[in-house]
Amino acid sequence: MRVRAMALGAVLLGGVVTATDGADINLTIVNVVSPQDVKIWEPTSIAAKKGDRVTLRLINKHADEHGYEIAAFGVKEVVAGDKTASVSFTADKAGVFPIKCHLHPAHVVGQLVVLE
Amino acid sequence: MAPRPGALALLASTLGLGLAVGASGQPPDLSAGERVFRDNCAVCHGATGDGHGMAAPHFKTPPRDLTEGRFKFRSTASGQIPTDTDLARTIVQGIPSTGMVPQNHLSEAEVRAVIAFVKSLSPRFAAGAAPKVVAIASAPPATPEAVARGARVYVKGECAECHGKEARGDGPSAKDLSVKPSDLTRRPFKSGPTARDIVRTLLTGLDGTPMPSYHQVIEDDELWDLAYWLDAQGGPPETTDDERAGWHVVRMHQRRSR
Repeated sequence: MRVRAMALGAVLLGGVVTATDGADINLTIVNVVSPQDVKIWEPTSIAAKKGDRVTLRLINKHADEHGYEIAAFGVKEVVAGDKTASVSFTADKAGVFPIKCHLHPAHVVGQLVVLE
Repeated sequence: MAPRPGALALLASTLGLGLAVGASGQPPDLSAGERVFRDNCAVCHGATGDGHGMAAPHFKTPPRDLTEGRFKFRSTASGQIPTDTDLARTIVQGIPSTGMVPQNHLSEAEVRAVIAFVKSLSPRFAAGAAPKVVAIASAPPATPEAVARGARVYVKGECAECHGKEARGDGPSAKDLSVKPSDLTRRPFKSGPTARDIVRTLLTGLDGTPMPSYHQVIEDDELWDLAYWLDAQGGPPETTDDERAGWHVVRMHQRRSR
């Protein structure tokens, strides 16, 4: 869920409070089996605007643990089987960043696209 | 296979008026839907809808496992279940370039019944709230200026990272992705032939693939510009091996059913 209508938020960056007009993006990401018989996080890719505050609720519906990594934003989570975890970050730089499962073995599952 | 007026009328009514299929207040007739599914769908999707029908090995892209309840082509937000109208569109129009060929020979009642049955195959439909449709803004004029602006939106949206500078599906990230980006110069698009269909895909993303939703990330008028530009990149329509296989399966299945 995106809340783009929100006006100003404040983000603490290196001790300095910086105003941002970023929106809150709250998404539920579920680990599923793709038609190619690969376990993936879905939605696999996410688009955001620079400055958006992104919160991801990661639901692992499988019995074994799965990883979720967006290295560019310091996200590296292992979600145990049948458990849910949450990660949050501010998309403070633009670009296209890989989203990986960093376990068994590491592989790119999608991308975070942050637009200016 | 000639389309029956009933099925097209259903599609027209559900697409045009936004009515939910089966919203008559009566409980869906699952036995009728199961019969339609068995006669028309199970050959590819399997009797239980798990995608392992006897014709499944003929397709490069396997038939969808309907028990997962996850669909690429929707009018709803990323990760959500589709609406009945979405399912009707896929059933009646098919998915171009795939083995899911149009089932426009079905009557309106048959389409309604099989939608109810398909929804019964996955707990996602019973568990979740009714899906919300992502609104598509009114189409601005498709002018040469809009097409030119669309080329700039393609760059701004980082589309080339996956789809490549010339939109041929060969961007720098393509090699790392388990589901390869589409060559956007090939036609027809699976999501449908119109610029509006392209906008819908840009808004909703394609679940199960790395194609994200750009809803509220790229402005509505820019999405239309991008859709017009993408529309202008297409070559002549092609027929894929999977599409040929789909029609072959339909013909063989009809012969066996007689």
